[in-house]
Amino acid sequence: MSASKNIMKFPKKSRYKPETADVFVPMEEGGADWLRALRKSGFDELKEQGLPTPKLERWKYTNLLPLVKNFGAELGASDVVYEDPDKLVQNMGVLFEDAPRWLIDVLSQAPVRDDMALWHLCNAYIRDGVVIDVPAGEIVDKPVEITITGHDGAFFVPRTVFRLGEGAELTVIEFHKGEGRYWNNRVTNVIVGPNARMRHYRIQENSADAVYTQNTHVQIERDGTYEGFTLAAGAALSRNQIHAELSGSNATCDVSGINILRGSQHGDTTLEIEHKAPHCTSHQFIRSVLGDQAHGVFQGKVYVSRGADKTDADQLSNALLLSEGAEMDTKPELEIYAEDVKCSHGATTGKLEDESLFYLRSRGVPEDQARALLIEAFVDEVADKLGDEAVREIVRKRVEIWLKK
Amino acid sequence: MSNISDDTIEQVQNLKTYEAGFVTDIESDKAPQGLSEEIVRFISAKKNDPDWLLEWRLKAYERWLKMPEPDWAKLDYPEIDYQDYYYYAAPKTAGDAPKSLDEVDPKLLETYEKLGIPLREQEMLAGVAVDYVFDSVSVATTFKKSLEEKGIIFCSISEAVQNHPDLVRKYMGSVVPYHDNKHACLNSAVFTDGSFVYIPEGVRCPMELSTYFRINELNTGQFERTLIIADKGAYVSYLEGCTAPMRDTRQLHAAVVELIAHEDAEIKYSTVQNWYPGDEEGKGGIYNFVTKRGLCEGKNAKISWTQVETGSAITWKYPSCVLKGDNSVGEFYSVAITNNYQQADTGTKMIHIGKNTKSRIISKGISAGHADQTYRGVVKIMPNATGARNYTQCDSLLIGNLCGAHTVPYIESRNPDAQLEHEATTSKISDDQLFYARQRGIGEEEAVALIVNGFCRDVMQHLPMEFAVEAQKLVGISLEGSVG
Repeated sequence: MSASKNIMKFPKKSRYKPETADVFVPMEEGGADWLRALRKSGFDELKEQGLPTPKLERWKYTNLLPLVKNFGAELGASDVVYEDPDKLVQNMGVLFEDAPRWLIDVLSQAPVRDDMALWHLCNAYIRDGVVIDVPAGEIVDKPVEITITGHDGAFFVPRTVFRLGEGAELTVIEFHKGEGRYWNNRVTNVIVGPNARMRHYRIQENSADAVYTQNTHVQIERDGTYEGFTLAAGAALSRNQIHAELSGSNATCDVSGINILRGSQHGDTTLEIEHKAPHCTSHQFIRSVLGDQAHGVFQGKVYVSRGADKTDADQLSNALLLSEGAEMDTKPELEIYAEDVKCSHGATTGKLEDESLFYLRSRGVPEDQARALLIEAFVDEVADKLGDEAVREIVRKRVEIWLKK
Repeated sequence: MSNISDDTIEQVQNLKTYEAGFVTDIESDKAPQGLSEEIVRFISAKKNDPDWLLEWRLKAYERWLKMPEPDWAKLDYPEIDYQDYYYYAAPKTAGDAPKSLDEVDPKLLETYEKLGIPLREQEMLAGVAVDYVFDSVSVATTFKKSLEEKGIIFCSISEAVQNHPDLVRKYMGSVVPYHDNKHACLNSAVFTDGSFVYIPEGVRCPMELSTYFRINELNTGQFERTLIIADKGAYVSYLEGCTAPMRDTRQLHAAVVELIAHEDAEIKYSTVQNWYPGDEEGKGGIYNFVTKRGLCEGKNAKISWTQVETGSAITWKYPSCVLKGDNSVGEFYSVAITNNYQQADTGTKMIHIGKNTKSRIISKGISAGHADQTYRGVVKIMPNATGARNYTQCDSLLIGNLCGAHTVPYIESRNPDAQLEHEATTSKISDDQLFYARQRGIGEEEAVALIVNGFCRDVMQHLPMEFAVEAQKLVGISLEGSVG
């Protein structure tokens, strides 16, 4: 057999659609060098890839394009209101005038995967956002509440940075809401220092016509803990994408979510937890309730690097389909390169159990109420695990209201 | 021979010189190296194909040229030089085969020994040129006779093309179309061998059918194409492959298997794949690209795939079920073992179309050495598949800290009345179990084999008796050198 001859070439199909980025125009010049460089690199990447389409493996189940077609020609704004008793929130736009080195480094960090056009979109138009930097040892008792309100016709791409020093503790609750059609595309960086603890909750109740796409990158150092939770009840299309890196030993990462969707809503939860150090623990727990023609997506991945022994990781997705026309797509993935690990995942899809319904009905509970009770109990299991009691109450209340609608 | 195929042969003969500069003699046993339209025509002429089949092959070849190579699997191998292979070779003649077992690789013989294969069979498997006028010929003849009495057709696909063209034409490509994927295209264009089974209405095939008994077709091909049809109420169990490693120097394998189960019919398809996996450094080894798919066409049909995959350097294989008939059932039981530098990307697809369709997936993966293994599966519930049910379990076992085990399931449900469950775990062999076995004086390798066999039991028990015992030994052999 001869070595390399003319190996036959076959056509290759590109997964990217660069032309979908045509609507975007470069942002006007100005600002510091690093800021201009960041905008340029973001814009160049965006032009190269275009917006994500279902041709990309991680966008297989979510078709963003039809809903965001007319956005992007100009940048809109959102109202951001803080409930911040300890005065921790800093305005990123103000910080840009004389940005600290660490912030520049965090903002300029390249996304870990190569299908991140939406991340680059945020960089292309980077202008403002929220920064919370908790110094080492400081324990913030009261949660910081941030309310983001979108307006009809707006397209906005804020970046958010939370940094916790060694031993610090912080709780943030984000409320997302708005009116009319808008596109809220965000990137959030969270750095959890050694032995620090971050609780990060999102109550996503965007307007029924809105598009909400968010990318979060979490880095957890030794003995650190990150607890992330999202209640997804709003938006015509939402994509909740989190990439967590456990980079120090004995770190913990819990990501959970409740998706309650109806009408023709589309809710996508895409998680990737990367175990880079030994003795780390991670949990993913997502429950979805889908009525009418709602479409739920869960893509979860546990990645265990070589050497990350004694990893303990699990993943669970349960979905309830309430009516014909609803659809649930699940892709729970494990990619494991270390031997001494305990990894598992489970996924179920089904309807409310007839037996349970019958049990309640036979005790005189009307059908509607019986269903509502069972759904409440179903999602409550996620809420029960949350560390912050106030948030558990908020979530329960929202679910209750949703069920009455 | 029809006039048309005479014409074809003539045409091919007239071509004489190929682009590559070879002069072809139609009587030769080997097609020139490489692949081109002429080669496809040459194979077709050699096989005495009817016109429609030649056209079909050419269409497949056309598509093959235009199709990108599938790159979604987690497999890493150098670009394949398709022109470096031979696509047609007549069965080996006595001339170039080893004269006796003394000439065969002693390592291979050692494996036969461990599997407990009788001497005669060893000779046959190693391709030793002996006269096969011994027991199995008469066995095969008796088998053939009793099958014929029941109206069962069991022959090579080439014979079927000649003798049962209507059946072949009706079903071939109906489950795996020629343009299904790149490897299926290639197979459709150049297939030369494989089995054809037809079980008539209401007939229960009295024995396990196996390629092993078609001894006139010993040269099981590189590009096999198997077609099994179970008519209404029929039942058949088919065994493919063999636990013994086959002597095969050809690296590229692309097979297609199509199963069709009509109303109330059942097909059980079992595979033991043990092609050459390459040496300890990962040199050599077979590339095994297989497209296997079954169609549960009628009500209450059932298709069951059972596979034990221990061989090949690269495995790309997803035996699937299309559950079209109401109440039809699909099953997939798999054990995949990768050691040294082997890579396997394997799994199944269950497409639920009919009402109350059920599927069950049990997959056990064992990865050792530097091997990488992926379970990749799809469970899809179409909107009309009310009452569909799926249960999936895939467990992976890692032996050593340089291997990888991955699970990539896709679960898509579009019906609220469908119930789907999926479970997966990844872990290593528990120290407690190993300690328990070692404490009782069982050697480490033996203990690992014991534990792994226990891990695979759910799948192994679905293998027919003929395979089950040998497959258990095979597990131990495949993992040799992975511990200590």
